Amino acid sequence: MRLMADEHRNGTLELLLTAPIHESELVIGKWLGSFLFVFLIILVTFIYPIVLNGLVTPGIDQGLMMANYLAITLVAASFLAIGTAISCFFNNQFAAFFATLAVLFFLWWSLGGQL
Amino acid sequence: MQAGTVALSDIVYYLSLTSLGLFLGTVAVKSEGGNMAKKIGFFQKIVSKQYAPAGLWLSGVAILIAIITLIVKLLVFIGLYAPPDQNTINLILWISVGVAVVGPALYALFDPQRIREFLSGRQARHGSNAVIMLIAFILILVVINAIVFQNPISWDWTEGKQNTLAPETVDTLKSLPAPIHAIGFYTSRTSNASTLDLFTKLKAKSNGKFTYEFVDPEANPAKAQQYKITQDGSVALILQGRQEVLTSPTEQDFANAHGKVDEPRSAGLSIS
Repeated sequence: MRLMADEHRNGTLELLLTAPIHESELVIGKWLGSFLFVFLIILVTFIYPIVLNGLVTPGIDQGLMMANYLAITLVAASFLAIGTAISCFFNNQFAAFFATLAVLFFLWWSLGGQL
Repeated sequence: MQAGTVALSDIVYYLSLTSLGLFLGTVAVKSEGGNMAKKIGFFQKIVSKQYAPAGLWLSGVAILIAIITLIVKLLVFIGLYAPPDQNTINLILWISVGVAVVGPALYALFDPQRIREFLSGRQARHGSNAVIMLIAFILILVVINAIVFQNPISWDWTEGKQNTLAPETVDTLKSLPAPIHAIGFYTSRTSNASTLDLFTKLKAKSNGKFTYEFVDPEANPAKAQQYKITQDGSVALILQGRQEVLTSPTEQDFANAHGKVDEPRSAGLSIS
């Protein structure tokens, strides 16, 4: 939520845009930073299936686990991209946060999610 | 999608969503929209009782919701998604379109001078370029997704290949004497997710000999009566005029019924 909104609010976006980079590189860089942070958190949880695999015989279904990790990584990547895009339209981080939340809730609900 | 199955269509969908978000962000930064957010100072304007920009923001949110709703409707149209309630989606679309129209009108009402400046300036020219680019980008993503969804490719990563049809089932499907059609009768209260998943797998392996559709028996009672449907969640299988109704359409039930409608060849389907 602060990715771009804070740049607007602090007036540092103009400074960033004077750098010899394309606007898309700036947005992708912002997204990549947040994605790698979330990806690192996802990677840390990898310890649980490793431990679980050692505790049970004949071990857990590795393919199923990897498919779920792939899914959560893709969902995180897309949600962060939506958040980054919405953050570009706001100069207030809370407004960006609630707008992102509303869009993600709508996406989730429209694809069959139930409250 | 079944747990443990990785579908190319799902990967493409989420990558499309990611790229759309990044593209939208780039357009926002590139266009005056990004600076507008700073200059207008949405909350500052609200506090200082100048409500004109609120109409634009309202309209922007409504347009975003309308675009998402249209994408969902497109998925429904090409048969990739069955919504829990079609009427609610239509209602949301109409409300968002209405708000999208009323929003700029409110802005023009409160601040007509700015509208005149906007329409005659370079902002309009660059803004329209950004809109055209955005529409083109969305269209490209929709086409790519439609192609991938129409030609499903998936990989079953589970150790026991739990989500894969048995080879015998695939062979029998491919050697069907005539096309077989399945009609799933599901009301909006009953989820058809597992049946849709089964049908998708059967269709993908049938060389075009297996087709399916879903019918809401409450919206189309005549069709439900025609196939003697008495229970929500039933499936009617039709092959060369003969029919069989399943009330619990698992792969095993489907295989048994399939053998009955295909009686002359007694071609039952096997399950792994």
